[in-house]
Amino acid sequence: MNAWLRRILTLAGGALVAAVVGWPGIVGDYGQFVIASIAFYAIAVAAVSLLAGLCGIWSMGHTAFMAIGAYTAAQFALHGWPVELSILSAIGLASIAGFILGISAGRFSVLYFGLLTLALCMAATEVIGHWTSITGGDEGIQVSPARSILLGRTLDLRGAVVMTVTLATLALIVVDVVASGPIGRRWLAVKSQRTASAAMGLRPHVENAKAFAFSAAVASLAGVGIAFTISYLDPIAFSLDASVQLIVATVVGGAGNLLGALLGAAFIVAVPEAARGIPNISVFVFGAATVAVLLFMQKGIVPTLAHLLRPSRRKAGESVQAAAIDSAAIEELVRACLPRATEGLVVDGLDLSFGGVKALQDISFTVPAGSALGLIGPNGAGKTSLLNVIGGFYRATSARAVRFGAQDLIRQPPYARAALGMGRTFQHAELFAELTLRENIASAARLGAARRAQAGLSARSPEEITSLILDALGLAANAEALPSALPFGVQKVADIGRTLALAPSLVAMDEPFSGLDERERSAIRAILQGMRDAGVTILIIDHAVQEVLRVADRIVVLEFGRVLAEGAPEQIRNDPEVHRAYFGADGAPARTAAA
Amino acid sequence: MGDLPAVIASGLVSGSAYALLALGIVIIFRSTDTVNFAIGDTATLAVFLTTSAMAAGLPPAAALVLAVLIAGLAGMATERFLIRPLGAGHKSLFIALVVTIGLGLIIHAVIGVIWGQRPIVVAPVATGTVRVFGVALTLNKIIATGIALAAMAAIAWLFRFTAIGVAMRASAEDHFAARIIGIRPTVIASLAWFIGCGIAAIAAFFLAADGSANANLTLSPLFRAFAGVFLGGLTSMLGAAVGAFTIGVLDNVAGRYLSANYRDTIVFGIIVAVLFIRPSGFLGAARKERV
Amino acid sequence: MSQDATSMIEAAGVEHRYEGVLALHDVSVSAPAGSFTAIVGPNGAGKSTLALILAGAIRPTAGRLLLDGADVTERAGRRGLVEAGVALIPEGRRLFGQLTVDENLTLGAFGAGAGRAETARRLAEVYGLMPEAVRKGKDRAVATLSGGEQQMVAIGRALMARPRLVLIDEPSLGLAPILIDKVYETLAMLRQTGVTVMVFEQLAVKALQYVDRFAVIERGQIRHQGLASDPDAREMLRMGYMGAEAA
Repeated sequence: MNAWLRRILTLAGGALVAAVVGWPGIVGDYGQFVIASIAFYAIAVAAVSLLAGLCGIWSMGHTAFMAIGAYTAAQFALHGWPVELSILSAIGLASIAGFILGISAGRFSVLYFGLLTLALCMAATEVIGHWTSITGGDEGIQVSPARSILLGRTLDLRGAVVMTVTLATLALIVVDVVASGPIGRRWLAVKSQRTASAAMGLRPHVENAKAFAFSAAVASLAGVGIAFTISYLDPIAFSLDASVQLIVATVVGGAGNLLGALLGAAFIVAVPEAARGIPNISVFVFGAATVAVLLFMQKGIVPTLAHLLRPSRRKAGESVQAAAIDSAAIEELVRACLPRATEGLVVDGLDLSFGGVKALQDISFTVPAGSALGLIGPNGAGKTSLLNVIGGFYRATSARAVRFGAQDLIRQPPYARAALGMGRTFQHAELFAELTLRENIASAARLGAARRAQAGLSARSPEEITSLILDALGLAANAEALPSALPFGVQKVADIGRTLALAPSLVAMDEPFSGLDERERSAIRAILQGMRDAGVTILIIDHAVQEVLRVADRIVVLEFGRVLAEGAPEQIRNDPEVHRAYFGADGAPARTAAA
Repeated sequence: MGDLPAVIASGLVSGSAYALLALGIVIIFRSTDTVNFAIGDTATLAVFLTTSAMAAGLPPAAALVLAVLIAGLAGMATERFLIRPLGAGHKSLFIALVVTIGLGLIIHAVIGVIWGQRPIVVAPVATGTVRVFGVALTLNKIIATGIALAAMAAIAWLFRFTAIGVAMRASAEDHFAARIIGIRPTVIASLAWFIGCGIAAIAAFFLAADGSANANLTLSPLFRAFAGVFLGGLTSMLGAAVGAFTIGVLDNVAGRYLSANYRDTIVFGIIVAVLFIRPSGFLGAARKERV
Repeated sequence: MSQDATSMIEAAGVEHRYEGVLALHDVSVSAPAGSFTAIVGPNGAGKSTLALILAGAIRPTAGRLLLDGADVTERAGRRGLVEAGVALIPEGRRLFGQLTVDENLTLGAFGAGAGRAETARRLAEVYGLMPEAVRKGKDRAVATLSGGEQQMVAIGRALMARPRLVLIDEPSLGLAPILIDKVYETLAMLRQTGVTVMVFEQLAVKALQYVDRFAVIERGQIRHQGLASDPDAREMLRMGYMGAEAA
């Protein structure tokens, strides 16, 4: 469904429900209660679901943010302050708390963070139970009616329900806009590939924190809704059980899906209401539904049904063809997207040790602007460590210089290097799994816009740059497919495209040839050739010695963390020292010691 | 501060129940990378079943063994029918956790349906009090702590000196290598779930033997067991046991001298502090993925 | 190393992809009973994948695995072929570092289903092959041993299963030259007792001093194969690793 159509329908639906509820005499007290419950749970579930779907963070502590909203609203109403102010304050308080909590999310695995938020929920419940001056303790607190300055009157219960429905509608639309816009793409990128997103210039922990703050703010609105529609706050509403219900609703509806959030909310409201007469049955249904959904529909009900109704449109992608790679098109692409190569990479006297073990010793080499340097070496030579130092993921123990152009790199964090013009590709492509190829490249193209403007390149929009890259690299036919649906060769080409979209001055490539068959390798070769001819500065690290010897201008050979040899490819190919490093002692093998 | 020894002693006593639950959590996690949230409810169900049997005349010792067997078999069934079908891998970690939460809800509801909402009365295993180093403790608690310690010693023996126990440690360290040398992962998983839920039943049995049992019997102890697991590390059995005893003592000390009203919050504060200082716990191994 | 009637282990037309990533492409290798074979090639060429496939630890995405001429492809992927007498020492050795030497060795027999008495008998035998330092440190955690000692324990753990075929991935990795020779001498001795041995080795020249047959694998394909005594072996290696001169 088209995004705008979806939002308009949501708005229309919300307006309709609000109108029906607001019109006196149509919906009775009980109906109002059910509608209000679905509305505020929809807000809360959307908050949890957004975080799970876009960031892979499962929070079991979101009732704490609901509580922030609810008790803020209750206290403000008690003092006679307007409801608009309490909404803004709730959003402010919850997002600050959420930001602080979210910034730590990256330190832990999904599992640990889930358990941590669960503990938060238990602690919050206790605080609510004992902070009687604010919460009324276990006995709860009565909430005065909301006074609105916009409407200039005090809302009765019906008005509060209308307000909650309105809040839910707006919250769902805002969540949808954020989720399907550039910010949401960024969060998805960080979710699936933290390293690759950092290499692209994103700061994963900050993105997590922003997402958490946003989600917490949304959840606090649910609390405001509860406060005014139930008009009595019972700590039970924010207990562990309620938190678990939010998780159940998210899982049942499907994480990251708006319709799913609505369905999930309806589920957790309807089940207890339908089963009022029979004790325990609703808990049982929650448990059974959770287990059943996860065993049979791991993605949740809405996404699974959507998948069934719309059987995969994505065809198995064609693999890349060398023939489709036109070196003239690549040259044109480079001219349009990349600043002219004027900066070289200088590594001088670099040492790296891990707890006394020397991984790299006295490494010195340069990659002059506009040239291609190949870095090879047998297993354990330190190639990956070196790449990680250059990418900023390890910090050199000591070095005379690690410079890119005039810029000292030694203390630059990984996410700062993209802005300096350092791009890198990955051995396993590391594309963002939930974005199409086009979105993968576009997300980078947006981040590269500043560098293109700086370099005075023609003012093309990120979307145009993306199309240009897709066409030149022969990816256009697969542009709308998800990476997992495509052959590995296509993924690797798309990874190169994503890097080019950042407008880098240097492209560091980690094993561009590994895992590919002959046909795919020839396509990569053609792209590298085109980039080289266009004057891109390239650093290639690969096990496939023969490939590197074919495409690089100069070769550096590492062995045991030191530079073993450096020279032109032909020189390296016949270097006896290199032969020794790769397959053993010099001289023809003699059968000496065979038992 | 004159009652400090008594506070510490009662912390160690409650710590022994947390330690059994924590050990159960860790043993299961090491075998299948699953955090079993249903462990408390499984144990509680086993205890409810056996208290009914005890009311019908089964001696306490036999009831305890029966509870361990029931919980252990339930644990094996959980692994076989709910966890194994999810498949292995990074993504199913959280899914498995939510599945066990769902199972916990189901068991909780079943207990409510069969035994009702009100707590049931459980006869203590033994009556009377004993003074230990000047601290009065109920005989019931002494026996409970003794059996808990014996169970932990048995676990230590199993993992240290039997071939299958060593195989379980090997498998926890490196699933792949264990499989390659011919150790059956399914056998290891079944056994771990049996042991994990079985020892949790010992904890639940003595929690109930304090006088009464309701469906939330293990809720608060499980929270503290998790705190202990965080403290010691999700991968270390010794760490989990030591961590759980530590939490037992800290919780009691904090409850006595700081604030009786904010015990959960204090425990939570300890967890957060530990995780920020040492994310893998004090004795846990740093795993390949972020923990 | 084409198919021959006496092949003990054989991979026929094997292809393997990890989540779409090609690791092996149409690889056929075999080893006759009692032979000592080296699969050599640069890092990343597919040696480890081939070792896992021959040990039955993973199932190839295409092609067949034959043991004593019988198709065992279907059995692969779960517990390997330990019970059929195939032992693998995987890349990085994968010993249980927190367990003691004794425990590691005992598990080798346990995994193959040996009883207590049989395990004790094998243990005595295997300790006979171990260097002094390993024998003395049998209650030390394996992680505290040196690289060479660990490699010997890894071989020992494999032998505890009483295998007919031993597959060793990168026996030389991380070892000083003198220890590499020690490891190869142990393997040669093992071969003398009738065990079929296959090494997967980057350091080809070293392996060729000990084995009788070899194959060069590069970028997932077998490029050359021959006898270690072949005078052209050295040239085959150069071609296999470094490729032809640029045209």
